Amino acid sequence: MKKPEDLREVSDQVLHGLTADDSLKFRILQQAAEGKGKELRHGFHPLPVFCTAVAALLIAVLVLNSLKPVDPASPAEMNVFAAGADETAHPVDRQESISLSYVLNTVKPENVTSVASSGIGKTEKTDQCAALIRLLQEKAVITDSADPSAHESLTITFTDGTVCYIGAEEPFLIGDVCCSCPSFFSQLRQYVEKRE
Amino acid sequence: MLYIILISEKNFEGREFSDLMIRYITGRGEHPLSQYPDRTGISSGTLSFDQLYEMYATDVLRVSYYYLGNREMAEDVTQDVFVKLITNQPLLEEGKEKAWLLKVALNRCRDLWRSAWIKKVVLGHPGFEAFPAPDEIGKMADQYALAEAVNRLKPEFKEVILLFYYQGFSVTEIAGMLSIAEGTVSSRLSRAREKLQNELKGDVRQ
Repeated sequence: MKKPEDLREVSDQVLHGLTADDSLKFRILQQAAEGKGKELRHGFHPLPVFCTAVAALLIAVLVLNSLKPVDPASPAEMNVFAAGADETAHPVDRQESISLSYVLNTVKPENVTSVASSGIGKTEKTDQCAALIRLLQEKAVITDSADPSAHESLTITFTDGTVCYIGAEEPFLIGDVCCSCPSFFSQLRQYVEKRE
Repeated sequence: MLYIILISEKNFEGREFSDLMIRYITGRGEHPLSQYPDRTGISSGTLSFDQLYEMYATDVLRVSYYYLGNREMAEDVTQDVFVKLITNQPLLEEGKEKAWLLKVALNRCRDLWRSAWIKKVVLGHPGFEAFPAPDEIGKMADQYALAEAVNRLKPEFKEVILLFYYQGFSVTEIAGMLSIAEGTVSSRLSRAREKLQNELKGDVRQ
């Protein structure tokens, strides 16, 4: 009967055919090589890279958006700055303002809900507003002789909530274009005075 | 040709290696291991990976086989141990390489042993298969009985028996490898011897 002391000798006989050969060595080296590749890949963390990419994309979009040229014909995106006008006289949502040239050329007069001048007053009667817009569209003369130091403002509000915010210095309206329309101001004054 | 057939059959699982080896033997390619020329400097004193593998891989494989009773899993454990050696490049004291390799192997075996999968799938069908030399077949009943009895021991007894009697480590060294007290090693050795004797006497009576 064999004893535990014989285990070395016994194992060499019983497990003679169980040896670590070149095939196993090849597997080991292969896996180690792949493992090193995996280790390198472990250094690549997709989430931070993804977040960085998204942040960069957002910044790029914001920058490009700020550089985007203003299209006077697109009312929803138009910001009208009245040269020298008192912008606090009629605070409006600049994001929803539309251009003076759009008012002169495209707007349907019946879609205007109010016309307000910081110097004269305000009318909210749709027929009066429509009449004033028609006056502008028919009588206004485009000019480049506007006084750049105009201190009044004109706010035209439309049924869909968009606003035209422009500078005014009677008889001039100053926005993306400048126009002269004395009859607009006199008519607005009449409406305001009549209401009062 | 016979050599080619033997390699092909022996390494039927490592198909890629067999194919590469056949190409090498027939002069149509390089040796499969030649693509891994830089295997030196595994930071184990003065020994390279090749030397460590030649000296200890079979011991690691056999100890793992004793532990698990499954050749494929023993090969997997051996593979894991040496891959760990290559990738982790531990600082091994000269003369302590084998202890490190066997310690890692036993840890891996223990993990596998504890896993539910091996208990149900492998150990549910115990059977210690011998791999004798061709001329030893038929005259090794005693040897097989001892090997099988060791394989049947509980892991904690099997570990100390294998390290003490098979691998020739001292009680102190085993205590260090298994992170247990020397007294515990001695106690386990004593009880393991007793169990083996009982097992072998039982076999003799049968």
